[in-house]
Amino acid sequence: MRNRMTRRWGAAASLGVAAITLAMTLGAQAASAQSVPTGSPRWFIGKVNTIRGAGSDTTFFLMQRISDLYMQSGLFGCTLSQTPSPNYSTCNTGADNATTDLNDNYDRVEVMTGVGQIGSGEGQKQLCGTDSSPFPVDFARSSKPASTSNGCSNGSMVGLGFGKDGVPLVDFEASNSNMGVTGASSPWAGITVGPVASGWIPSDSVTCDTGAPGSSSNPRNTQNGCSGVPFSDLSNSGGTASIAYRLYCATDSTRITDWGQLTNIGSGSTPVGSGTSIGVPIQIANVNTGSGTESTFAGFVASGATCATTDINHSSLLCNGAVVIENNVSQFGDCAAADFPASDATRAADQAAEIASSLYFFSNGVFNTNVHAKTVTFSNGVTTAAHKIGDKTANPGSEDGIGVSNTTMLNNSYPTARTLYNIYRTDSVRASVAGFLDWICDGNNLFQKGTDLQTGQNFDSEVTSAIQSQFGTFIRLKDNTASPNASCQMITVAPAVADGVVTSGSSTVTSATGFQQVGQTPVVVGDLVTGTGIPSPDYVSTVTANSLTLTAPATASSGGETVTFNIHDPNS
Amino acid sequence: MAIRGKGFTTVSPITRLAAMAAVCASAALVLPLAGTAGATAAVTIPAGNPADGQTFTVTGTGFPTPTADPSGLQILECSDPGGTTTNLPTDNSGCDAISISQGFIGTDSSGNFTTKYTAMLLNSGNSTINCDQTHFCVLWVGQDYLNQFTSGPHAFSRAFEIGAPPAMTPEAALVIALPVVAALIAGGAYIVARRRRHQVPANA
Repeated sequence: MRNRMTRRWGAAASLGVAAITLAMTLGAQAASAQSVPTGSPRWFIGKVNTIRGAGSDTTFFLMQRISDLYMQSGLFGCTLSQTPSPNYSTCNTGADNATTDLNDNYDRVEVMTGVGQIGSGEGQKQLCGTDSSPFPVDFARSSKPASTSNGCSNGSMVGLGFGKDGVPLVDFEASNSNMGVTGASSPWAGITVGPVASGWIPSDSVTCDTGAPGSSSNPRNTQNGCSGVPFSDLSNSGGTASIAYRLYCATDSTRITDWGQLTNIGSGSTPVGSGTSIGVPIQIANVNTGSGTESTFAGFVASGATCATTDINHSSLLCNGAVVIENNVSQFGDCAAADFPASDATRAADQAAEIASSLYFFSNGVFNTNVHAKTVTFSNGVTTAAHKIGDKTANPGSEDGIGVSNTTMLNNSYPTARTLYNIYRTDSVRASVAGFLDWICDGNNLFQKGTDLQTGQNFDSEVTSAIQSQFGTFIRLKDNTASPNASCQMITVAPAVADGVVTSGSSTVTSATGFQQVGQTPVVVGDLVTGTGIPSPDYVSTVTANSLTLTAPATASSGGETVTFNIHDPNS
Repeated sequence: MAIRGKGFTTVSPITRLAAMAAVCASAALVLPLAGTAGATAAVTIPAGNPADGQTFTVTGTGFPTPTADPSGLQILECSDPGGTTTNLPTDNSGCDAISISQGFIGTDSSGNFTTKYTAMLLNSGNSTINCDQTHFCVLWVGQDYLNQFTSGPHAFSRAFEIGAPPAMTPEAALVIALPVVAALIAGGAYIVARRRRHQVPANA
């Protein structure tokens, strides 16, 4: 147990250096050593390691922050030994003292947040070795579940879900309200494009969206003063006939291509999707298909049919058709400036028209948090913002009539509700990785995180704050979160069996007790195996309920012996 | 209670006071209570303490116009120990954005807005702050809680304790109650006026 410090070490700028120096000095003068925990869930191993995550950019900034917190706590980790060589790479556990943090990053593990090929799918492929990576990947940042399509065998990837999110469709409802300039460029030749997503049709003023609710001549529009009906819900009901499919996936005559089909539906009973075209094509952004956000949204718009990605009907105009990064519309300002450069006589109107007629999708958590990421600045300095579809109704971000909220995300009733994961491989995870991932999942339940001496806050509060406030309004999931959001569990090892039967020269080990015990962590492929007659190192190659095979055959026979299992390499 | 005065029957002062009290009570059900403003912004919420999950109206004045703030406003819950203005948070670490409003909150051309907000019980089980029966909280309303918590346009509501008495009147109940109260008052006034018209002079 760590004793609480009562003094501050000095100015913030020199705090880190001073802390290291002081800790090592006190180590030399220490009294008796503290008890050092090992094994699950903290996985302390007594030496410094570097671990690396890669993949999702939805969670990039968040994981960078959590990694920083973990490494900060390592400043008060073990006292490093001057010997053996290389110097200061192992822990002098005998030098632990009252200031040593035994609960957080005792081993002073350094965590890298990779910026290589971005995307949840890419992170999983790099973890599985399907794609190359500039540096080894120990865990994948992922905003979608683990998938065997990324190269790892079934069951060898485990996702620890630490956050909950949703992916609403976004539009740009108020664009061009400040412009009102006639556009001359194709495809809006000669017309002014107003806030089409708000129900603007060519006979309306470009500021019709500012009209009070109920001011429209169309009784079906209860939101503003436009003559059309605002596009307020994205439905995937009806398979290939759904609005979502027809927007994103259809390539035949059923495809919805014009904003009027969505909004110019009159005052009668014309359904959304069957309105009259108004000459304003829908510009669908071309989002990175390696993205977990894109994958989640693609699953929704497929509507139960086949739709590989959301980019089938992407715009060739917006950003000149190039792939855009997820969760950021400020890049569209750069796109608009390039798509309609200074030589364009009606540049302002064309840029506004392009953005006004665009559709995109966004992490709900990032959208709520990052104002800059949802704001577009045009070349003339005017700004506009993305809107969750239907955000002026009782169901913001509406999908199939369901709005995004903490409740609908947690119970998965929101159609694009999703979990944010860190994914590891059971057959290759290192103890230092297990320690970091367990640190994220535990909510001060199995062990108490220490106090961040920079802020005075408990590290666990800071992890919660990072997840729920600073880098997204995601909902934190912990080891004690109830089902169906209970995947953030400690990485532990299977219990030992005392009735293992081993035969010299055979790779088979049997046990009547069994290797898949109810309520216990099961033995998995890749586990380190120890026992009499089992060579070192030896690992689980295959496993069933009562029999497993080793990667190397036994060297002695024994019946009823104790066989133990451990994480892949407890010394890493 | 009617008092027979000289020549006429009049309404007693007690009856007049009762009628006035009814009018004041119905007004109090909707009378918003203002919070603490930034430079010019101000936020008001109804009287009483909301229950967990209760939706109520939030109104504001003095915020940026749509041209200046196209992304709209944000509302989230922040800790306010003791419910005093001196303990209002000075940065966003005293708030939890898991309580953030999900919809778009836009202002009119004068910087005013009216919107709905749903209260969320916060405690150690789901948050870094406590907003419950024994811990005061406030609503922070502003443009960018992450980067401009106090430097940007913002205001705090008055303090409240989620689930504590006195309860905030559900707005659905108000929709029903207010017309009823108004009808009772109007009916009472009619009866009094009618009695006066039909009063028989004492010497008839």
